[in-house]
Amino acid sequence: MTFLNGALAFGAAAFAIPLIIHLLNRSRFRTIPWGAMHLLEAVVRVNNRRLRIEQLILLAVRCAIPILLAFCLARLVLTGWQALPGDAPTSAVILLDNSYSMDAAGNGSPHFAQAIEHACQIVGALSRGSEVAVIQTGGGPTPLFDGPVFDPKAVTGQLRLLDGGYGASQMPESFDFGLGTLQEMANTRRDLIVISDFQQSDWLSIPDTTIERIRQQIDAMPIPPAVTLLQAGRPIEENVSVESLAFSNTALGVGQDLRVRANLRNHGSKAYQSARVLFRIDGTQHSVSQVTLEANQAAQALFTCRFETPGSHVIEVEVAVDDPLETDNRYSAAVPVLERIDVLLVDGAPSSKPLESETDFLSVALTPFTFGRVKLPDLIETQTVSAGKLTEDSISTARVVVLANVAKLNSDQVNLLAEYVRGGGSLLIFVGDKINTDWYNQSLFRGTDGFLPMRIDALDGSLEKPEHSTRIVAQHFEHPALQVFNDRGNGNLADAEIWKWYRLSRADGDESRTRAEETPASGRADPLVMARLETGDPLIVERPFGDGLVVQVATACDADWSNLPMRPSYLPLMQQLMTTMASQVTPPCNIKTGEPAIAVLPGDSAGAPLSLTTPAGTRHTVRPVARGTHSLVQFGRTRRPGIYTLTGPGAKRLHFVAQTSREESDPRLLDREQMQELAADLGAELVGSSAEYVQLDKTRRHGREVWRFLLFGAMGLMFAELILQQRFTRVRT
Amino acid sequence: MGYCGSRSRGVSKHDYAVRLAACLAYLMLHQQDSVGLVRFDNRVRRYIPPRAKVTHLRVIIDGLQKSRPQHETELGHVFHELVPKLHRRGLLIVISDLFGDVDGLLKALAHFRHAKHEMILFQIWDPDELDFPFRQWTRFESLERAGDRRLIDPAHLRHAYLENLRQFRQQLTAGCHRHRIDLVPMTTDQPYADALASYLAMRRWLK
Repeated sequence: MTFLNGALAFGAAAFAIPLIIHLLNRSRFRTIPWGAMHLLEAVVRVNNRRLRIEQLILLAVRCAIPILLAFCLARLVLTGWQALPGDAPTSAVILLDNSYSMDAAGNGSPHFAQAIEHACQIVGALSRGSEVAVIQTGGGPTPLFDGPVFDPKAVTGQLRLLDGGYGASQMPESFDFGLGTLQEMANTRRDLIVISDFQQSDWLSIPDTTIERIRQQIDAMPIPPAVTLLQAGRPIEENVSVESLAFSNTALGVGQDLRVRANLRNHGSKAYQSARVLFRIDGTQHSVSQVTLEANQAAQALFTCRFETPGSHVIEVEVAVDDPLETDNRYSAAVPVLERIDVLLVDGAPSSKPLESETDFLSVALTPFTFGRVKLPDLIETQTVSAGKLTEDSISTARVVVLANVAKLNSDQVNLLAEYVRGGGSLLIFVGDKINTDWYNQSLFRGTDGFLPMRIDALDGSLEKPEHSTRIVAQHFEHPALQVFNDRGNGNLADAEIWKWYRLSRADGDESRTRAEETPASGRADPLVMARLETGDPLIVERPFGDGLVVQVATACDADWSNLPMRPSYLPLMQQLMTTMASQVTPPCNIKTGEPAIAVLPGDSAGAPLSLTTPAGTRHTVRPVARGTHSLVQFGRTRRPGIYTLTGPGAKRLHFVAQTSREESDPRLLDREQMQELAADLGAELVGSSAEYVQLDKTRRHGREVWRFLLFGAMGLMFAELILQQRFTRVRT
Repeated sequence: MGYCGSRSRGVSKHDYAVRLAACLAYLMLHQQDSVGLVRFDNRVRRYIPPRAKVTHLRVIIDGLQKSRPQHETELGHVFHELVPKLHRRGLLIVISDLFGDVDGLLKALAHFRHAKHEMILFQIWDPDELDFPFRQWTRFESLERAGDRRLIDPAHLRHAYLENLRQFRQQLTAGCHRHRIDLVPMTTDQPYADALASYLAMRRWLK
């Protein structure tokens, strides 16, 4: 026995009211001196015992009325009472697996189509007045309707419009969502039906403690639902999938080569000796490769491509084999291709002599083809200005601004730079012999409030005493800009000698922590040391500021304080640093399903309606919002894997690819024994079809809501009280 | 006879009976009839022999004034005790509520009739005793027997009481009719002069 509105059950305490009235009446009597006692005594003598019983009956009836009314309002449920078939409406929640593994066609029709058919038949068999909620589990719980629906035709109509192909099922989250939905529903018969292919990858990865928690959650509900597991589809034996595409994340320019590695896996026992792997760019086939896919083995296919036009491109790899699950045979990724990266070099020590200017080495390293008079385009285009010419016009088109040994700036320039970085720009700061460290610390660092990542302390090293020089620590670099040096074939940063450098420190003087250990009290991100000197001093540090990024180097960018510009590693270091900085502040265009697709657009496009096309072909209108000097557009409904295309200003297209993990490509399903074990753990029952479910439902015991009976009972007692009171006054003489 | 209900305007049954008796005495003495007085409860408390002088009225009224309702009434016993004292045949007027054992009362009345006495019974009722109008829980305390009290819900007993009352009155009326005794019920909310006049008119018409 339980209550749906438990708090109202306390109203049963109102039974005390007639009791108190009765006792008060008995205690507050009046006294009358009476003469005709002989007439009264006979009546009292004959009816005394009977009167007591009748008064007790009346009192019991009067006390029972508020109790019944309270239980009626609290909606009493007799959990052990079997409902008659069809006489009690049901609250049913269907967890429907629409992950891409349900696209498998094991025995003719796809598993998802079978699941839809089962769901429709179950909904159609629900008794009149039932309410139903359908929750799709692929890529996370998503309800089909905003709330429970009472119209079975509307539900089945929408079910038949659904399609699969979504990300892996999130079963624990889906159970939580489904049980939460059930708690909001009204009927006392409650069913939770899970329709899935029950892949091992989905279910065996759930920890036992989570299963136990779900079971406890079910048992703790006021009206525990009857849980049913319905396995749709049959096991498939073969499947080949493209698990991922790997390529460099650094900025890619027109005409530059992109190497793409496709990771393939054969999940079945059948080997494919020469499987064709197709590589497409923007839907057009670019190249074909053949790989051997041994049974239950992984393989790779390498492709190299070059983009002739700037903009957003989509590459796709498809393995052309005939297997039951085609959805995972292809994998797409978005590749932004830049026409050029504009870098503004602010030279703090300009000179008319060759390679004497502060930014000369840097300029050569960033535009090697231009300086080498090679007919190849440089991705980076530099513009060098003196400190005094750092203006809003000069900064407006730059993706990266470099301050090279700039002594100091005026306050307008500082504000301009701060606004530039906060709005998503990148700033690279090199020190040198001209800089005013006090001004840097006071105006740019400002006790961690400024955009300078670290405070500049004492100058260390000596140009006169080479023995005091130091080197960059040879280590495995984690930062994407330096990862290229993990391959020694690309140069060794540790070869360079650093003769002079500034010591950098945090506000609290401790620069030894890594970012993971940091707990910034101000809410501002702390600097990350990208590379260190052998003295332990930080050499390159970065810190996000607003939507942008600031990188600080503790030595000069020319050959005055180190021989780094003379080393082969200087060019890739600067190239990687610039391209990484230019691309790092750009929101990713390859996202996980469910993550928002974010695009940074020019500031003048704020508020203008833009079109976004989903993988299903649906068009949505989105409007960018102003964010600093740029505008930002965001689209959150990316639960379905595939390509989302934003048509920006000037019909410029921007592609986003929502990717899901390929865990469900493993076709193994839970076997009978595992299903029974899962059902036992969840307190559920197993069925193989909707017909079996309907049959099972008829034999189930459900709680029965009895508020109608209580209401009728209370009304009956009220009439009974009136009749009894009339009848009891006619006592025997 | 001490009961005084809310509708009797402060006149108890005893007060009503005293005034009625005084009226009758006055009327009869002015007709040169001899008038006596017997005051009783469970036994004869005062006996004033009949006299025909007008001055005897003062004696009778004095005897009436001194009467107080007390003790339990035993009409049968009192009437048997009274019969030997009445040597001459006459008219016996009994003013009482006649509460008590009906059979005993009727036997005593038969005794009077056997002695050739004419009898008139004025039965005094308070309206409350006739319709039992009480609703809330009430403790009824006997006026005649000290310590006799009943706490009851009158609403539940009203029908039974009225039925009991009806049987009592029916039994009394039948007995009086059998012995040719006039039974005149009177209620304390009724002007006794009106009641008396209507009764005398009825007697005249019967003769």
